[in-house]
Amino acid sequence: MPRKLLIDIICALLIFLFIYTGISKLLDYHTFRRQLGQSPFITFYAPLLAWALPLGEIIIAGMLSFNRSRLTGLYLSFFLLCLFTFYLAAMLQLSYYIPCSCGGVLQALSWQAHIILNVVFILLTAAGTLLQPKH
Amino acid sequence: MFSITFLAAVLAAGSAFAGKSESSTEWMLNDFSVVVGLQSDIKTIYCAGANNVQCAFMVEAPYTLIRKP
Repeated sequence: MPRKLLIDIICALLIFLFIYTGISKLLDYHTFRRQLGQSPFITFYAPLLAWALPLGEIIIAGMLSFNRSRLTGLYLSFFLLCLFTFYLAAMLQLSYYIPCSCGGVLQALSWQAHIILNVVFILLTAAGTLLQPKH
Repeated sequence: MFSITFLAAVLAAGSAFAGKSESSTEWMLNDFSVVVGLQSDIKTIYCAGANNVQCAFMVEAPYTLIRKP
């Protein structure tokens, strides 16, 4: 498979993930904010995160869409996905109450399935970052 | 020509809006709690039985009622 096509497919998958979850969170803003507020680690930052997270996802998806900003978008995707996964793992290990703050159909996933999905996307992002020309 | 990334963005946005329109109906129950779901699901979960007494109404259109015994 040509390298360019592989990068395009990886970016398309990431764009689908970020646009879908970002818009789902914004469409269901009040529920998302309430769920974030119930989360033991980030209660204090819930009002800020409820806007920043979905908007950040949509901005990263925009960066992945253009060749000029694609590498930065891949780095940011990698950082964001690692952050999500670390948060999920910490919630599973340390929190006695686990509210779901995911967007759209991802709410139907178990926390373990969610972590597996994140790890798959992290690996895809890492592959995309390595394949993407650095100039 | 549309790129695969543009197609992914359009599909994702469409899926998000479609998902929202399917599940966003809000219903207020008799105890003033608000639940979200399709009318048929609310009837099954919260208002099972015959239709003698009002059980819930749609928040956006309060004249739409669900009844139970």
